[in-house]
Amino acid sequence: MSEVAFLALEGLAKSYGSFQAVRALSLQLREGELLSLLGPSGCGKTTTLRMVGGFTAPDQGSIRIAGEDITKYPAEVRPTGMVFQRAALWPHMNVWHNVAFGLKIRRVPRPEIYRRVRETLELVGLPDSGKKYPPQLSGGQAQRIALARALVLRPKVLLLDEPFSNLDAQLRLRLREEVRSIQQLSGLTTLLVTHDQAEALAISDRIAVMESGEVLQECNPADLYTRPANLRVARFVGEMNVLKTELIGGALKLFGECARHHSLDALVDGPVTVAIRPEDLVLEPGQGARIESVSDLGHALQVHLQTAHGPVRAWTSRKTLRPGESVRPGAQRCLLYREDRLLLEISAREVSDAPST
Amino acid sequence: MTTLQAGARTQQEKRPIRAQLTGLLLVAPPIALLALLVAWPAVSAISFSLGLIPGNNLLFSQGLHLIRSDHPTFQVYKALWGQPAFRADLALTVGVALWSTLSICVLAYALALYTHFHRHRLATLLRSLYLVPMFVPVVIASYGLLLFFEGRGWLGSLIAQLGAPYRSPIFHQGGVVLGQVWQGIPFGVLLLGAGLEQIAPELLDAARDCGANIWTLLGRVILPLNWTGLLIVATFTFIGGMGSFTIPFLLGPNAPQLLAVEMNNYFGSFDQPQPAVAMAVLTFLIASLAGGLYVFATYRQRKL
Amino acid sequence: MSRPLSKVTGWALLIGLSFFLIGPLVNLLLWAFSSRWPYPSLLPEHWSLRWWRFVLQDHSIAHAVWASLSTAPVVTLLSVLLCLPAAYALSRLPVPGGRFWMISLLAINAFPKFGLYIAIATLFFRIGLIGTYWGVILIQLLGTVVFMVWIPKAAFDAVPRELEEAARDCGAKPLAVFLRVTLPIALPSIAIAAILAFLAAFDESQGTLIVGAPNITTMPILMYRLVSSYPQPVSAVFSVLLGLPSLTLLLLVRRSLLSGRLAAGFGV
Repeated sequence: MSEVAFLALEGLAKSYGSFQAVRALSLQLREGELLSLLGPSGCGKTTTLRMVGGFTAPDQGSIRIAGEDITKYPAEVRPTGMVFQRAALWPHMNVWHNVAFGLKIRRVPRPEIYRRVRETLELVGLPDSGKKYPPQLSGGQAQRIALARALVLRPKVLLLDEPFSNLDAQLRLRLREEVRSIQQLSGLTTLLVTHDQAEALAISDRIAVMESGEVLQECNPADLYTRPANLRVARFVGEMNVLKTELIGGALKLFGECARHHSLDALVDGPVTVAIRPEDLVLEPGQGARIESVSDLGHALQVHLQTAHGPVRAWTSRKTLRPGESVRPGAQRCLLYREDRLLLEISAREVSDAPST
Repeated sequence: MTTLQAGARTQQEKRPIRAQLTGLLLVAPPIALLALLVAWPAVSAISFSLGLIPGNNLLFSQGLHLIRSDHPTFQVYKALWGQPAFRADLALTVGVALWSTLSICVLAYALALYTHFHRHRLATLLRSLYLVPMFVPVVIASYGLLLFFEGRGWLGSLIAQLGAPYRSPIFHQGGVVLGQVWQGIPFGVLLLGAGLEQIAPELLDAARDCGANIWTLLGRVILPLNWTGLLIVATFTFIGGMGSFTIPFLLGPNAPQLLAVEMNNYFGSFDQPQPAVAMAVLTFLIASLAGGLYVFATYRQRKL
Repeated sequence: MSRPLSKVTGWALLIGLSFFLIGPLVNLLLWAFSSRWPYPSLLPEHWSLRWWRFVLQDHSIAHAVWASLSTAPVVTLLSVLLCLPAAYALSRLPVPGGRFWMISLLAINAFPKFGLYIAIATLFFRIGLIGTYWGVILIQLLGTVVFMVWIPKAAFDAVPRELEEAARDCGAKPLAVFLRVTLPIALPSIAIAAILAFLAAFDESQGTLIVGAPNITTMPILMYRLVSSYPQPVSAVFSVLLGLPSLTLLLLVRRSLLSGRLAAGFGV
C-alpha cells in the first residue's frame, strides 16, 4: 500500500497451547477505511480483533495506530472503541450512564458529558432513550447504544465484533447500512469481524478473508466475488459449483464438450478442479445435463442438474426462459459458461472436498 | 477524548504467574480457616482419642479417666465399646439418622415433584409453605415441636378432646426424627427441585408420547436423571442427623441418648473430654462413609 | 395424574404440611400471649402480656441480646472480608487448584457438626480460646464460609466477561471495572449470602454452646436454660423475639431462594 497505514498489524501471532489461532498476520488500514475480517468461526478473526482491542496479548507482532506502537498498552488506554456481539450494555446502568461511563472515567467536565452523550444518542437515532435500562431495549436498540458508547469517546479505531449477528434479518440489513453511513460520516477507521459474507460485501471498503489464522485474500468486495484468489475463498464467498475434471491436450473437458481457452495454454494436462458460480451458467437446449429438480429463490430459479462431473446448480432468470418453455425435472439441457468467470485449480487435494456454499 | 499516554502502564495483561499468586493469596483466608477449624481439630481429635496427649497441657491432664500413651492405642474406644449404654447410644444415633434420611427423602421428593409439575395456586402455596422451617432457628423449632407434640401438648389436647389415646413421640426416637424432618424439608425440596428444573420438559413429553404413565415416567426417566440430587440430599441429611445436638437435646430420649447429647455430657458435665472426642471421631468415621457417596455423586455430576 | 386426583393430593399435602410445619409455630405464638392454658384446652383460657413484661425486664435476657448483637454482625463482616476476595479470585483469576479448593470447602459440611464442635472445643482448650469472644466468633464464622464463597463465586461467574471488557474499552482500570461493573451486578447475590451468613451466626446454637460456655451466652444459648427452668410462656415469648430477625430477613430474600440461587451454594 502506497499511503501511510493508519492501523497497521504486523506479523501478529497468537497460539492457545498447540492451537495456532492467528499466524503471522499483517494488515494495513487507511484512515477512514472499513475493513472486514471475513471467515468461518475459529478462523482467528475475533482473536485478531481482540488483540487490536487489547483483550488478548499477541505472542508476536505489533499493532500501530497513527504511527504509535500500542502493542504493549492495556485495553483501557488504547484509542479503540469496541462493539461486542451481544451488546454488553451494563444492566445496572441506564442508557445515559452506559454512554457517559467512559467520559466520566476520563473526568470530562459535566456540561461536555451532557452535550456529547446527547449528540451521540442523536447520531445513533435514539435521542430519547437515556432513561431506559438495557433490558427494556430491543436487540437493535441495544446495539445502537453499544455503538454510541464506543463512538462517544471518539476512538481512533472502531472495532465491531459481529455486531449484527444476533439481530433478525430485516433489522440486520437496516442497521448495517446505518452503521456504514455513520462510519463514513465520521471518517472512522473501522475493523469489522463477521462470518456473514453478504454483510462484508455490502458495507466494506476492503475485505480480508481468513481461514486457520491466515488471510487468504485481501481485496475490495467486487474483486472478491468475481475474482476469488483460490477455491477456498471461492467456496466461502457466494455460491459455487466445484467440479472435478481434466485437461486434455490443453483443452478443458466440461459438460460433454472440450473447450480450448487462451487462459489454459500454459497448463499441463491432468486432473483439474473447476469452480463456477450458479449465475454464470446458462441453460440451453441440448444434451449433457439432466434437470433433477427446480426450486424458486424468488429472484431466480435454482436448477439442480446432474452432469458427468456430479451435481451442479444453475440460476436462471424467469425472463430468460422463452415463451412456453419451462424447466422440468427429467429434461436434458446443455450448460454454457463464461470463460472469464471460470476458476481453475490444479490441485489433487481440492478434488476430494465436497462442494459447499 | 481517548489519548495515548506515553509511558502509560505497559503491562497488557497480568502476567499469569502474578495472577496465579494473587489468586492463591485471595483464596488463602477461607482455606486457612478450613485448616484451622476443620483439619487441625480433626487431626488433633484423632490423636487425642488414640491416647496421644500433649504433655504440657493442664486442661487436658485435668480430665477424668484419662488414658495416656506414648504410642497410638485403642484403649479409649475399647472402654467405650465395653459400655452397653454407649452401644445403645450408637445404635440409636445411626437408626435415627437413617429414619430421618428416609423420611425426608420421601417427603421432600414428593413435594418437589408436586410443586415442579403443578403451577396452580395450590402448588404456589405449597412452595412458600415448605420454606418456612428455613426461617426458624432450630432452637425455636425444637421448642415449638415440643409444646405441640408432647403428651399434654396441643395435639395431645386435640386427641384427648376427641376421646382417643395419644402416645407422644416426644422424648422417644420418633421425636428426634420429627425434628429432623421438620428442619430438613426446605433443603431437600430446594435441592431436588433444582435437579428437576434441569430436566428438559421435552424429555418428559417424549416419554409421555411413548405411552409412559406417571409411575413409569418417575421410575424410568425422572429418577435416573435426578438420582445424584437425591443422593446428595440423603448424604447431607444423614450427616446432619449424625451431628445435630439441639433437636435430640430438646426432643430426644434420656436413655439411651443420641451421641451428640452424650458427647456434650462427657465434655461438660462429666469432665471427660477424651471419650467425648472419641465419640466425635466415631461420628466422623460413620459420616465419611456417607461423604464418600456424596463425593462420588458430585464427581459423577460434573462429568455428565 | 388426572386433574381432580392431583387437586386432592395437593390439598392433602397442603393441609398435612401446614399442620406439621405451621401448627407448632402458631401454638408457640399462642403460648407467648397466654397466662393460663390448662390441658386439654385447645386455646389459652387467659390471655395476657405479663410474660412479655417479665422477659423484657430480665437482665440475663438483655445480656443475651447484647451477646448476640456483638457477635453475629462481626461474624458477617469478617465472613464478607475473608470470603468475597476468594470468591472473586476463584471466578476470575487462574488460581492453581481452584476447583480443588472449592470442593475442599465443602468438607466443612461433610463433618457431623456437633462432633466437629467437640473436636474444635478440645483444641480451643489447648490454645485458650474456650469461653472467649474470639472463640465464639471463629466457631460462628465456620458455618458461613461455604455459602459466602460459593454463592458470590456463582454470581461473579454469571457476570459476562464482555461487560468487563466493554468497561476496560471505555478506559476503566481493573479496580474501576470491578467496583463499577462487576461488583454492582453481582451485588444482589452477595447481599443474600451476607444475610444468610448473619442468620447462620445469629441462630448458631450448638458450637456457641460448647465454645462460648460459660462466659458467653447468646440468645439461642439462653433458650436452653429458659426451656428447662421457666414456665412455657417465658420461652415462648423469647422464641418470638429470637425468631423475628430471621423471619424478617429471610422473607426479604425468599424470592431469591425460590429462584434457586441457594442451590448454587451446595454445588448442585
